[in-house]
Amino acid sequence: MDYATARANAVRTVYAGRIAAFSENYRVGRPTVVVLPGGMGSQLDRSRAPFDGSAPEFSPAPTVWMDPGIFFDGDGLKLEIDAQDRDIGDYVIIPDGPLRYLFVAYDGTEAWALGSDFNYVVFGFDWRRPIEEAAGFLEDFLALLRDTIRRVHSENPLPTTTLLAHSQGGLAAKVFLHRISDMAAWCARLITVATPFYGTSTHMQRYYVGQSPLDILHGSERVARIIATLPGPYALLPIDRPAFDADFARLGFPSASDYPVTDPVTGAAVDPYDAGNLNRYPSWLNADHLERARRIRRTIAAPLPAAMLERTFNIRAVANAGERTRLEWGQLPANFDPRVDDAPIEILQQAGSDGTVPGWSAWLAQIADPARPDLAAHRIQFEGPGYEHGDMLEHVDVLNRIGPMIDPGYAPVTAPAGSRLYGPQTTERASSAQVRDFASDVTEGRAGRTDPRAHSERMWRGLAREFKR
Amino acid sequence: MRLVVAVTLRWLAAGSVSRLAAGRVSRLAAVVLVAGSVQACHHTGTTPPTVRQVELHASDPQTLVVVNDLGVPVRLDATGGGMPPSLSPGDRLTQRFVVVSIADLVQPPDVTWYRISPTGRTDYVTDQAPPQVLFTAGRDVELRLRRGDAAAEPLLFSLQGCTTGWSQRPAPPADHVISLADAVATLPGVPRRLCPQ
Repeated sequence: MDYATARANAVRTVYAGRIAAFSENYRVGRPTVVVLPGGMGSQLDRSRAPFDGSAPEFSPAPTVWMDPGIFFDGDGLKLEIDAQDRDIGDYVIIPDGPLRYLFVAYDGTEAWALGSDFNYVVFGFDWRRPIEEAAGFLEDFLALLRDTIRRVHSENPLPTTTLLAHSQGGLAAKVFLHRISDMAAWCARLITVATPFYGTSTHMQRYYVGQSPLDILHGSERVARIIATLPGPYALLPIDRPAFDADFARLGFPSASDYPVTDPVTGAAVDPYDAGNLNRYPSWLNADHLERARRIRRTIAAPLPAAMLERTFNIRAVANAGERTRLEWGQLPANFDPRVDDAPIEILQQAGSDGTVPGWSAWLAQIADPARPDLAAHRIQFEGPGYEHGDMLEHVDVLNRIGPMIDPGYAPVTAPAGSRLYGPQTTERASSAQVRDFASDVTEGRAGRTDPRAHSERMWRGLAREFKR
Repeated sequence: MRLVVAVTLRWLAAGSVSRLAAGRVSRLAAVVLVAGSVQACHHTGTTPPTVRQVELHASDPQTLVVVNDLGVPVRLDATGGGMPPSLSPGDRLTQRFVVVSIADLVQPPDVTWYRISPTGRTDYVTDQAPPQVLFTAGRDVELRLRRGDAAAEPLLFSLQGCTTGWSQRPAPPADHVISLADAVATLPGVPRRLCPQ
């Protein structure tokens, strides 16, 4: 057995297990919600030993994304992918449902779904790997779901299944739609929430300075270098020029000269996917991964057949609809040093986004097309403060918009007092500064495994928010 | 036509996969062999399943014939870091491989025998001969094309979705001819089907 086969087989094994568990609580005759998490929202487990030609062992589950090992065992460094597409050290890393250390990612969405008498399951995917791989596994996952429920409950759940995709999960869903021919056979509808169809405003800087708070634990350059080995997230870079040129009007830009990534000195458009701009990135950027992402963006931006469009809905949020988020992307500073230099990127008019995904990115051009009034109900916008990217799938306004689409008899839900988020998120989350303080304390030996913060739900919810930005 | 059964015990819910034995036996023997002991399962908190997986059969050797009709010289990345083969315009490359089908065996309640489940039949490319240009990440098979010094262009092929699937029966030897021009024209990330003949 080769490495890739062993990995794919292990992924499928976990999917079958999650579907078996789902089947035990399946409610016949009720609609099903399959959640596709955003980037970094799926738990990743690593094999107990390097691959040796036999099937890898994963029990008990050695989670590398994420549990206290992030702080104490250098788990962030174990996420690197080598030049042969293997997880570093020849280990095998597989996705396993949502993050679930001390809290379960999207537990508000889960509580909402189960409280609404929907069946609920999470399709975990390895967000480090190419988008097209997740799309392929989604096909596998849904086929297993269909066949298992049909066998156990004599019902095909897919015709009443809603694919509910948050952020990067929506990219996998979009590519999946291009793999299949009959959408009705696979799902009733796809609802994307804050999906960066045309990129995010925040991801590019990770290639320069890494990711908080991993930068504190391991150093900015080391983390940035590891992020550069992960092919999947390259597709989160802001819109490529060909897609913009084809769709700028439908995405709400006044003219073709309004490309939203420009050089701060010359004002010229600079396409993050253009190999001609590689010299603006740090040396560790991977040109192969960039090209792969540029290519998959062609599929993400490709039009859907009419029959699929009728079943596709895009939800976005902007703090201020009057602003249009754009970026200034400068030249790489001479002798760039992530320890002391900032990324040469300036995000302008960020209120035109949900903090991560610009408004112009979260609706497919086809759906955003003002010349298609028939699709008005398919483009959904929430405006104002309080719609944060990472929380969108648990926001009561979003859930109450989605509910009736799944079930006409849906009863609206309300959030706990003082919150707009549904479910058990009553614990206040640690702030970004508090998360970074804890990481600093770990790095400098002031906090160890017994530190209460390492076992505080509040800290872990704050950490998850840090990664979802 | 060879019939290969490599027996694995594999817990669907456990995420724990342990290979016990591999050998060339009959399909009937495969069913007998899987009736072994049951492991506990705790990875996802489910009860021990009554499903086991066996490698049901392998195809006869298949040949992928890659035709460079792009009009420019290209290279194909090789797995394992081997020397990437070059193809001049008009050149053809042959890649031998085998497709192995894994099937689930289900134990009905209160009986000791298993039956082949309609679910979970999965196909994998294996036994690549040199030059080993098939990448098998994820659920698809991939060629990685390079034009000059440019970055790799992944071209996907899926073993799934065939009218007669690899899992249905062992497949006789066959040539599968791939035009690079056609493959490049396919929407990226959307695989062309690679089906038994």
